[in-house]
Amino acid sequence: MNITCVITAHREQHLIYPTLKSVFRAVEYAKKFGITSEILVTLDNSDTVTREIVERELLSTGVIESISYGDLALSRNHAVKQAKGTYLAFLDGDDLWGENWLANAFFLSESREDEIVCHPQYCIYFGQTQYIFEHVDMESPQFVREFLNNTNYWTALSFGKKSTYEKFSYKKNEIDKGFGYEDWTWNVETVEQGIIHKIIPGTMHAIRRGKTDPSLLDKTNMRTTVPRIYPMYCQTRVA
Amino acid sequence: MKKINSKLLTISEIESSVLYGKAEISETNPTLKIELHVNGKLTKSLIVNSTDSEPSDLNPTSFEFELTDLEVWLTNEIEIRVESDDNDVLASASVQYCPKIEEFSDQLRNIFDTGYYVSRFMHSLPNTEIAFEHYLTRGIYQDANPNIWFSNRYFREHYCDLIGKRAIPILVYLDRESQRKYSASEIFSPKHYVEANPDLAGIHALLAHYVQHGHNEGRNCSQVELQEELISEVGNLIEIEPLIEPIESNRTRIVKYPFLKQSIFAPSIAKKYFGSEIKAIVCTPFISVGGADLVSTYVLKALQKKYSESNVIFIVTDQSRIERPDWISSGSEIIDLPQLCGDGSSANARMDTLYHVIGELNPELIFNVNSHVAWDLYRKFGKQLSSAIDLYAYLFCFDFNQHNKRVGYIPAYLPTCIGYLKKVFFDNKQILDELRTLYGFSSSNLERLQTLYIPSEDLDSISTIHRSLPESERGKRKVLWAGRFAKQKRVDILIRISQAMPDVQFDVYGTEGNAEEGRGIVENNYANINYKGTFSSYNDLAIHEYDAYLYTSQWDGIPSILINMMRMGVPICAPEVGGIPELVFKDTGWPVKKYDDVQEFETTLRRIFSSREIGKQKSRLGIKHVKARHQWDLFNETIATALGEKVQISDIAIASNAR
Repeated sequence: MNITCVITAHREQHLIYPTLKSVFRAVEYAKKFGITSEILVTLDNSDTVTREIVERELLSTGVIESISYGDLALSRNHAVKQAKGTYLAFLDGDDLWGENWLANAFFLSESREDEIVCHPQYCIYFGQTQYIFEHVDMESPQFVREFLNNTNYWTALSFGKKSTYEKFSYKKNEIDKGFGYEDWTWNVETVEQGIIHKIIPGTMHAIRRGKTDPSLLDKTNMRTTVPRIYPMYCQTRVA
Repeated sequence: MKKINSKLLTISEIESSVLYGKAEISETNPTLKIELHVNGKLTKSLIVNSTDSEPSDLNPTSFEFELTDLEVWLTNEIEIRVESDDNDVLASASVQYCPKIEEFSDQLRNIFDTGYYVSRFMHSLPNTEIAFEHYLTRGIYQDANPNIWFSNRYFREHYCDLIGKRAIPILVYLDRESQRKYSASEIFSPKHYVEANPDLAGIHALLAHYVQHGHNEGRNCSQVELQEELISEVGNLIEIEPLIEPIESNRTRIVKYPFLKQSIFAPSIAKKYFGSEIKAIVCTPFISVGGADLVSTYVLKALQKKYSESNVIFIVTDQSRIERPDWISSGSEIIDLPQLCGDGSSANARMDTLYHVIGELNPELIFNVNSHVAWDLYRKFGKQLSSAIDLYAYLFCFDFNQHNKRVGYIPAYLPTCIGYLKKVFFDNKQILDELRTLYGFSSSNLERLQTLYIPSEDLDSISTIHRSLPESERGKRKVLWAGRFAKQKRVDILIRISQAMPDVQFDVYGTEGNAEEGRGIVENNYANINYKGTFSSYNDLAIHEYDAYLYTSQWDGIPSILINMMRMGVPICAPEVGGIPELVFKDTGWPVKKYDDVQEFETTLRRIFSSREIGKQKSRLGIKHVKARHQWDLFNETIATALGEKVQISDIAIASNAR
């Protein structure tokens, strides 16, 4: 199996339907080039409406993992363990992929001997805010390492080898302790360990902003939370 | 700069195509021939000998050459050789010089990113003038980029016919920028910048505009619009999710990182400069002549004693101001946070930068003495920071506003931050009782509060002129007052006391503050108040001339000046406010019950004048009291004990903690 398409879902209800359609579309497009894919949906503390839509659309073509972590990082880590694909591609349960995303990311990854993580060139934000955001390639002069500690360069919807996600699992969010942004933490950690974050030219995702149930990101932003990007947060203190 | 013997020869600078240098004539080489070589050719020479000047190792001979036959746009190799009269080459030094750089200096300054340049090409803390000078005299010749949007490598690769080997790419770019034919790099094109932003069509210095404004405004500079295929794909996605907007109207407005300010580079610069050796950070807002600022330097000393000077950083956070550098040892490591963050940085930006600097330096503790930036840091990030490192603070007393309401650091920060702090020190005991009553802290929070008396300076006791001498011999009674002309210090009461005692001279040392009455004192408007300016040492004060030290204040901790006056044995008349009664009480001094009772101040001062033996006894007991309670060893030990045993740190594997 080449790619496991991981959709991390919670209680998106009808919003997951266009997400699934965009995944099917991308899978079909990749299939034209001989790329095989499976679809894996994690339903984390989900509800009956969301489950019904996922079960109906997937039929027997995908895998549903019902979990109760209440945490995106743990959901992703769980999916990594279950995935059969050589590569994983992540999508949140209310966002969309462009059609050529899987195929183009796969081909770039296969062409590189080093370990890379892929991001789409563009993110089209829609909903309560609308703008186009262009990702920065780590091998571009526009990538300034210092800026990554201040601002997350890339979204969480990445594409990479399963072995990469196994080696660098996501850290659980602990909003009550002031720690969040599991994807930002992951991005910094992987960059520090020499993983190159690449942009796939000509690809896009559509990212929904301002949902009915605030996303984990929105909740994170409402309080002062920080990513665990500094060594001091990874050290234990022994009296 | 290549030198055979740098002691003999120095090239000082080149300005307006004149080279200035110095060569040392000695008894062994009384005659020197100095040669100027330009691009490998000898162009000029001159002879200097001992008859021209006094030969001395301390007085090298200056020389200068006007540089002619330079290639104006190119890098010229300039070499100076010093030969003896036997034609032995004794020393040589070389520099590179392009005359056009001076002409473009202002334009170069407008595109120069200090934080980026220092982080990439220097090993120092950022100083804009020093960094820019480094760039103009060295970096520019070594293809150092002035910012991330201009690439010397790109320009050489794409326009090699234009510049050849010796031209300086940035100068050629700036000279031709208005033509909009040449890109500065893969990521900046003046042509695309104007096409994407038509409102900038009238601007010539486009790279400068982008560096200073455009990139922070999210303007495009290298990509005009989205590819047609992507616009088409958005159309397809709209069929799946109708909420997605068509992007035709947004196709040229694309947000792209980074948004760079000098503060972005500050943490990595600090890490590069200080490495991994930092154990403790002391934060202070600035160093003026105030008591709290002095205490911050005492805390610094104590931590330097515990860890060593190179392991402790002193960060000045609110203003670039150190008025008393003598309070800090010369080997101290200091960060000027406003300078590190760059001009115009907001308090919020400095707080965020301080957070990231701490993250990079990974100290064991932070100790804050009255820094607003650090208190804001504790309030915003205290939960996270306290999970990893120890947070400390020093507080003194409540301030009061014109409505007599408690204001200042304690109400603003202590209740919200106390749970994050390992210890909060106060310079007196009385405030702890007040806090207990006012806030009702839990027992675990109350345990974090501790009195830590400020140490006195190591001063000798001074016997003051005494009272039994007849007036004809001793002259007028003299009273000393020293402090800030702040509303807290009730300068108006000092004036009223002086007016009630016209037979007494009041010598006043003071710095300007927010009390309007201070102006009248500075202008010597009062008959028996003699304004003496400021002082930097107690030795400046002629203490032996004074019959008493008068202190006025409406609220206070235990002022360090009172501690030091008592240490010197000076009779002290002070109000019973704040922590002062813990220092000045009936055995050690002359307390006054109410801070604004002028009559009681007058009576007390006159008692001092007439009580020689009692005065001596109080002085002796006062000195003993200060030596017992306000001593350095106790201060250091208390801090060391509060810091506890050294924390053992073990790294956990960088992996998910939720398996």
